[in-house]
Amino acid sequence: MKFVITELGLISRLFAAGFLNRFSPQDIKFFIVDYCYNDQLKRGKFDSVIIHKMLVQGMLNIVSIDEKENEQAADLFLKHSNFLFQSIVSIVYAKQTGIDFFVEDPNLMTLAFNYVQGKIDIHSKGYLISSLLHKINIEEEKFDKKVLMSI
Amino acid sequence: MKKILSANLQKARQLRDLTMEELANIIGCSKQAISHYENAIRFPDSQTLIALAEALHVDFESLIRPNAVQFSILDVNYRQGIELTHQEKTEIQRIASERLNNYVELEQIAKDIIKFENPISDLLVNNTSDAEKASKLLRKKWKLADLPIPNVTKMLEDKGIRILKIDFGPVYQHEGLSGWAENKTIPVIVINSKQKELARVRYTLFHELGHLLLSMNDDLTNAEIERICEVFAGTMILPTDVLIREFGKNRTNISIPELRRIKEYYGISILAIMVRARFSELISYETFIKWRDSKFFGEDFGQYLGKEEPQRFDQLLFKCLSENKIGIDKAVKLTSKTEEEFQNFYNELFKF
Repeated sequence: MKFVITELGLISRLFAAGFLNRFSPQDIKFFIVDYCYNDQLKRGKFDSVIIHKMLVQGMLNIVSIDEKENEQAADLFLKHSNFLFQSIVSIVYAKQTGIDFFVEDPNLMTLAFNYVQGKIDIHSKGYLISSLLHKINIEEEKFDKKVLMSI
Repeated sequence: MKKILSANLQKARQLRDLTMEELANIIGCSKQAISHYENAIRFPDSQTLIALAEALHVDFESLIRPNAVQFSILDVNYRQGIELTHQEKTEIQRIASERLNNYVELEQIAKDIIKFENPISDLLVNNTSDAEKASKLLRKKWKLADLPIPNVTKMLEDKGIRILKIDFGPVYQHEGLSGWAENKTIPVIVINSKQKELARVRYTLFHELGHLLLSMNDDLTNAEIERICEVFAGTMILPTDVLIREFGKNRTNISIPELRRIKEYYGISILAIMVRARFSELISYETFIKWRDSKFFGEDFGQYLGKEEPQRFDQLLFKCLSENKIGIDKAVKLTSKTEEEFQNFYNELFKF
């Protein structure tokens, strides 16, 4: 499973709750564009020790985009400047690489749906958690509800 | 897009006083690459754009956003007599520009832009008497009558003046500053968040308003301009007719309780009331000196209990959030807060 993400909070909470450490980096990989990563370092709310661990393991990957993609994203940003540029870049990157996109903001999800035109899947938090539970063969009911609520 | 980046990059580089070569050295690329970006020949990759933004101390979005607003300081509040170095001025302009950009961007998203018009632009100001005339005319044009103004910030925001409250840290210790953006179409007043006394904040707001709106005679010195703005601020808060009504003429002694009542009702400091009374010749020079030499001088009697906090930016933000025009991530960035700070601030508003 591969996902492009725009923030680090959710995956650090998933890791802390014991969802992600059941996987190897070959099973699941998260990709975050450098714009998002840099901004998250300044403004984000996440466990930096966990994120560092995920980077070292290769489960989390910081990616850069080339001149062409960057300009393409900037053009798209001109039409949708009520979103963050880094969010737009993430959608462009996901489409270019064919990696599924994970998003929590419903407005961004709509924009992503329209932009990728079915070329990749767009996932919400519920889907991500269900997929992870499915992979590790744990039904949602059996998983500690308090842990689920905290994510 | 290349053209937008080229204009913004050049502007940001010049504001930092850097040559193309110096910028290239800082970020570790060739001078030719910078020249290509500034001449709209090439567009940088993500790593280079991030490096450029960091080197220029700007947000990377500001380099690709069309119509990035550039705030220029028209005048600073020199009441403490401290001049600013070029470097300090550049840093203040950068901080204020960044905040103003967020403000203007939010207005554009909300489609709520108040166009400003200066109703006293035709009145040439030569001296303090003209400042008083200008204040009277402005009160009339803005339909303020002779009434106390309960919230100066809100009143100015409703007229189209952008009010920013900024903590400049050690870079800028003065109470306020003002300026224009976008070819003198967006008036901006910046209040230093260090200033806590409301009466003082109100005075500063009107003092800066004077700098923005008064058409000063070119021959005036800086000291004369400052004096004119002080009179303008004083008369805006407490018009002369009101002062006469409250004070009475030919007073020989002034008591603290009456000064305190005027302060609490009109939101003006006791010192400013006494200066206004002397300026309006309601008290003699001797009476003023007698008060100045008394044990009460400098004491903080009474408190104005109003509110002077910029409201419009927050209101636009909440409006855009509730109408799903922006997401939380964008709101975080526009407020220049961290995610945690924003969530604490936002969640606080839902508490009973």
